[in-house]
Amino acid sequence: MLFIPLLFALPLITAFVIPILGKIYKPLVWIVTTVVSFILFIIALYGVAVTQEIPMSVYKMGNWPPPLGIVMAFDSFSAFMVLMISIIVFTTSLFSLRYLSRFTGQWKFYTLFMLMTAGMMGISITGDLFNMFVFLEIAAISSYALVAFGIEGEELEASFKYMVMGEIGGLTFLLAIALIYAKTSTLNLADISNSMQVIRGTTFFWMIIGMMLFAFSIKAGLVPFHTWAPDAYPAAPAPISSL
Amino acid sequence: MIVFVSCIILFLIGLYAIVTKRNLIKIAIGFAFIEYAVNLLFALIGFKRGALAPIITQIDKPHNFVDPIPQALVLTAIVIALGTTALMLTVILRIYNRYKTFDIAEIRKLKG
Amino acid sequence: MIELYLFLIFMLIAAIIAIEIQDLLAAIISLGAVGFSVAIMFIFVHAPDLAIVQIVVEVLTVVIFVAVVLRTTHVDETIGKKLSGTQILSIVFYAFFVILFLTVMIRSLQELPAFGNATMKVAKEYIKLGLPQTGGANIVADVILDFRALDTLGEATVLFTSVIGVAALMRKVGRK
Repeated sequence: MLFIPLLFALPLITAFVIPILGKIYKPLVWIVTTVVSFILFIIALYGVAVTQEIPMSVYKMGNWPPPLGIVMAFDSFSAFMVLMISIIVFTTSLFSLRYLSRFTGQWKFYTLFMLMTAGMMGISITGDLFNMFVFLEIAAISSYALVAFGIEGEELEASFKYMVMGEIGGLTFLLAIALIYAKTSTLNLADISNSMQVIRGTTFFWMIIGMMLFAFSIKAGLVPFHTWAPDAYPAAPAPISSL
Repeated sequence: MIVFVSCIILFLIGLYAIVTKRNLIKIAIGFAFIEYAVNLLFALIGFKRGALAPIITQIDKPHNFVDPIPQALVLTAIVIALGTTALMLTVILRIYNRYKTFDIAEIRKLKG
Repeated sequence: MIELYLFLIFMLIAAIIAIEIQDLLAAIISLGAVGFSVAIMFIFVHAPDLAIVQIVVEVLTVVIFVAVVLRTTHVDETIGKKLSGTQILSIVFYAFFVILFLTVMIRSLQELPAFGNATMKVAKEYIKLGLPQTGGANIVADVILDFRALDTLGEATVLFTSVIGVAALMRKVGRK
């Protein structure tokens, strides 16, 4: 089951290497990004094939047993998410070259792009609540920077609006994590869903559900919280809007 | 109970700054307050009366420690908060360089 | 625990001053006061590691804020102006939200274990296994560097992301 951590480790390593590559030979950056996103696509396809045989595979980070360490859980839903993300990332990076020729500092764009990929992959496969917050913040911070990448007035303003909404969502999520931890004393998602069955129907339960829904709908730009989206999408460089 | 509620009040003060203030720096300060409020609440959750800091000094005695997990998580959350604050202030600085004001209403007017 | 309550009150007063004062430098000093009282409260709840990190991060935060304000302006022109229509609307909306949020929050906080009685289900395992399995006497360090090392990698990545983000946004010219 080694392919599971590879899904976020590969773009992460690429992101750390790109600044060095950018110093050596500039066109290499785009080639490496595209090749890595193609490899991610292959791994995602392999993951889909695996879920046909084993519906739920678990990878233990650092080989600690589940409630102690962080686990990565790969089921058919996360396989679907990973496949979608990898397709979008691959096509985006394929077509970003011509679009980006207008901008300066391209290696910074690709570094942030790979970090965002790593964050989103992490969100879809992690089996630990706090780890999900960490990956959420990686994806969020890199996307704020990417929205403002053109550093014109419009883009900066859109980025600020996006940041205000996104951070309120992220911090609400952290508050929900704190309350869940106080109640259940664990962070493993499987453990939590067992404990949640016990307290189902109390005020606390609905409070947590409400906060989680609020946080995720802000992040995804759902209907009542969509006010940042119309600004952010045209302002962002076109390759980023597709994400 | 009352300590948890004071953290929630700090959270609401920060939210007040974000929702009603028109100055960009004040909004950034509001975010810093929300971050402190959540971190402090998380650390207070792990407190146990009469327990010690989770550092082992004597091996043979039975340990009576406060909860180490919230401390480990808040350590990560504090640093993440620093990252977001730094990026937010950079965006604010660039907005000021462009429009020469921190006032949201003025910026909207200048944009036309 | 009386000192904890004193610092909580001090923190709330400093927070209100920070968002209502006209001079932005004074607002940042009040922000620093809030941050350092949070650090002192971390010591009261026996979290020395947190107190150290909070002090370092607080100094950095205040320095970044001051650097931005010194390059721009330190007067908040929006204080004392007449409230605009959207502002009054958002204050009314905020008041409704606070009433709703506080009632629900206080009811759900009552369902939690009271202050000073942490449940510690998984934490007991960490305390038991910390020294024999990882060899570190500080359990918090064991958790962040060994049991949950992925979170620490993520934390370092967040710092890297924001450094690259700041570098990307501080470019002199955006387009060729």
